[in-house]
Amino acid sequence: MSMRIVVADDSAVMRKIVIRTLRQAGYGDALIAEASDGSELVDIAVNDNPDLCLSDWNMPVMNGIDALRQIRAQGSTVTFGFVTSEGSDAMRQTAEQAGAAFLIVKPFTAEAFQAALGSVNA
Amino acid sequence: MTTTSDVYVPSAQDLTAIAELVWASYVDGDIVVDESGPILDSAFIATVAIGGEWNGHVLIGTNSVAARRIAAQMFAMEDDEVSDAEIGDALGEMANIVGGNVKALMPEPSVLSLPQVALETRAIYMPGAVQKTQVDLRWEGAPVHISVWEGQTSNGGK
Repeated sequence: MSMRIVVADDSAVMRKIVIRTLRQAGYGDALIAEASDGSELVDIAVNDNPDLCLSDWNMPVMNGIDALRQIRAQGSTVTFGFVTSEGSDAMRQTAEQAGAAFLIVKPFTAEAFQAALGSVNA
Repeated sequence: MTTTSDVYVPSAQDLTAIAELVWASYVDGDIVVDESGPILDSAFIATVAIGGEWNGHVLIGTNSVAARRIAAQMFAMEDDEVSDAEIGDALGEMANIVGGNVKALMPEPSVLSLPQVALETRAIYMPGAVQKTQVDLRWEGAPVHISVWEGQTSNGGK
């Protein structure tokens, strides 16, 4: 059964690049859904029960960290990772406390995806 | 609040290193320092604001040909296929990534704004902000300008 991944980013080009990088990292068979803000991400994560959420941090309507908190508050234990242009220690700590498994900083490589996703067996 | 005088200011070398990393990740061809200081007379400009312990802006500017090519390469499309919206999206994302990497050099805590993009503009004014660092680069024959401005942001934060 194919892995189901949700890619959330307000930038269409970044969603495309993340999906391209997932394929390069060996996740070419994954079924991928896209969300353009945190609110859409919450809807998909809660209703469709995907295997993995990859989310930008800074998005309109609802940002990624608030989306993660809502997803957890609604009982979902989906594996969640950030793909963001910011990677400060404070943000990593905030992400971890909210229940994120990893944080990948832009710009990224396929190897960074392999390492992060491999570490959580996603 | 940290005073402006004791804050590290990203150097031209910092901005060049960030640009090299971002360009190498998302588009073909090297981006190099251009000592001649190319002039942008009709620029496509993307900015992000950083607000918090340090307040300022990061700006990227390039010309229409390069902006279109950046978008085309990021979307994996032909140059003549990309729309203005796609150019704005791609250039805004470049500013977001460069801005995020600049933010990492600055005092915490702070937040990064969403990008703003102006297509084909002659000038952009940021009241209260002062340019601290500028680097002029060249990519595929086109000028690429990156600068860091310090000063109160009007839209920093969420």
